[in-house]
Amino acid sequence: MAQKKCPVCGVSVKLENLERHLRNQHPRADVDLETAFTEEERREATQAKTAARPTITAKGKQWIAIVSVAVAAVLILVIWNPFGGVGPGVGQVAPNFTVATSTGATISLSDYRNSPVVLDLMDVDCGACQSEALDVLQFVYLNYSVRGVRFLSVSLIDWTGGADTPATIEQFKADHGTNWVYGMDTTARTVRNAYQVQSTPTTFILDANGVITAKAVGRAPDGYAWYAAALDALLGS
Amino acid sequence: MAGGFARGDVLLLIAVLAAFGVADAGYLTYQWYEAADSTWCDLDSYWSCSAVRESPWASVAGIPTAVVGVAGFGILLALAGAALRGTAGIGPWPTDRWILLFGILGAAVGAGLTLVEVFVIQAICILCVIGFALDLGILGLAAVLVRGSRTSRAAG
Repeated sequence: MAQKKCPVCGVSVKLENLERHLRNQHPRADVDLETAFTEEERREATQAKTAARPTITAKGKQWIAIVSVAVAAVLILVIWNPFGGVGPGVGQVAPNFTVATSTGATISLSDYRNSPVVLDLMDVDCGACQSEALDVLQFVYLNYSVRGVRFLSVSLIDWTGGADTPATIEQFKADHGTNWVYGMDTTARTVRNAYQVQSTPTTFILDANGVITAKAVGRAPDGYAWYAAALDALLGS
Repeated sequence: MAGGFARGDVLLLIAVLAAFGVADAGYLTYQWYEAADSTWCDLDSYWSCSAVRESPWASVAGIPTAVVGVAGFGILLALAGAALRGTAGIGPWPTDRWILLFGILGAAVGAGLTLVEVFVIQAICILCVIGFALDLGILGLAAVLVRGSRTSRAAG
């Protein structure tokens, strides 16, 4: 490989790298690049640069374009998610269910008719459920249970982490100040399927007739304010 | 090079796949920091990014696992870019071999995390699977690249 001594520092540099060397190492040096190379050296440097860079064929470009479009399409499809279930939404009656509670009783959602209800579908091991309970739900409970709002949480049992048990749920309640009834979804995943849960927590605000007036997938978007707005609208204040 | 493709074609394809990988892992990292208020990659409770993201495996010492993906794909993108610019070798090895090494590392990490998803978390994050597929694609192309280099060296 042809080399040439740098006219500034005297180091031997590959011909094709000399111009870059001068530009990067001696930016203030007064070297005329036009005269630094002979015509033959310039031709040799260009040839070396061209040889070092791998060529890209027209066929290659076509295939790369096809692969790029295919991968982009898969990503867009996943993001758009046309296959995801939606579950019951605002204006629909919340599906009834009957489940065991963490204290061994049995509870149905229909037992909660005639009162506004906060229905919280969660999992003990879900980080977002833990922070929602600790940062928001316990304070909503403090302020709204005295105004007649009832709270019901249902553990989806094995949504994430280990399977929730009555003991872990009771511990969760004690740790997060959420001292209301916690139901446990059945092994047939009755609640999860009825509500087509896609993320925990999923929270519904129901009016006295069991109609959904607000729904939050994941943590409530504005925290306490989201609950307050939905419940105040129901309570008329 | 196999199938009538030039070395530059393979390198460019690796760069493109690595760029998609950076975007994919970058979005997963963003999602991890944003917490569970977005569900677009949850088809049901099994095919659920949220379930995987909320598992203890989603981070190590507070750093999301997806960051490893951003770094790995970023390195592969940089290596492919360097090779496309004509860098023949970095340190003791040719650039192609570095690409193969990081392709193997990426695929190994991806395979491990996929096994954890299937058998431990029991939920699949589709974006993670796409990242793993990109890793495998890059690994296959890197193998073609290294084989092609050896063949041309033997012929030369």
